Amino acid sequence: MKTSLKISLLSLLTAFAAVLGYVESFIPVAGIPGVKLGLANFAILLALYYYGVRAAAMVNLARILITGFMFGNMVSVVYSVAGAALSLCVMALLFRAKRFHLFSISVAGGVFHNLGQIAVAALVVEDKNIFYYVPVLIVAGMITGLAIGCAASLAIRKIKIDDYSR
Amino acid sequence: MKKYKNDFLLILIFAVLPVICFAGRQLAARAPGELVRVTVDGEEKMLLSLDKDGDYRVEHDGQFNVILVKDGSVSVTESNCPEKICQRRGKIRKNGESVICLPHKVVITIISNDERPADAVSE
Repeated sequence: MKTSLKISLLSLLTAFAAVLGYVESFIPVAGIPGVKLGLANFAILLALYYYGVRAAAMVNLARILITGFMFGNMVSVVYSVAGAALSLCVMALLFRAKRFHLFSISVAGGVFHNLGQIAVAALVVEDKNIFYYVPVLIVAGMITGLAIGCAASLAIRKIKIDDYSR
Repeated sequence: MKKYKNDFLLILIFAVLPVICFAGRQLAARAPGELVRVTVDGEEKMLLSLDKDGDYRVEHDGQFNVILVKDGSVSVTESNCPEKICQRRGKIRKNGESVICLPHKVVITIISNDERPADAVSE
């Protein structure tokens, strides 16, 4: 019972993350290259909360591959992986520390997602001036992270999922 | 509220970082710029003067950006990149400001005369 619930839920979250990731790719943020709303993190946070770090990583990887191959190109996949990897590492550390609530974990996730992306951009552009975007990206990451984090917290409170294991 | 102490602390740390960056940037000389440096894929292609009006086309492999220097400012007026974020950046005129076209790997930066690269090997 637990396993099929886990499989169903994670699949659902993966699909959800894929759709969110696709939709957010159409929304430009403040006219800055590379900034995305981070909507997909909503599903990742839920996966993290219910099933832990490994599950969240799998869901993230799966949805990046899905959206990457269906709608994107090699370059965008690299950007996504960089952002997601860094963001997930930080979120995992904070989550395992068990001292932080979801909303602040999401803030950290948002910030590091953007920082990961700008790191890749810096390698692409080979110009240190790109770091001028860092402060704006941090702020953008905080705002979107907070919004998504609060939404995820609300969802967890309202949706009753018993019988989950971590 | 006390149970959120760690969370607020974490967020505070993130909030302080951009402030430090901005402060640092303001302290560094923010004189009106003098030169416009255009690099493509890390390689310097053009070094223009901000007080000479003109428009310039940067193109390779079918990807182009049109750079306009006018009245002491620089902007991208035309390009065939997918999102045209470079065009939306608007006009820049101060040292350190830049317009970047990521898909085309074009970076347009305003630098001061002293920063002029001699035959330096850029990192």
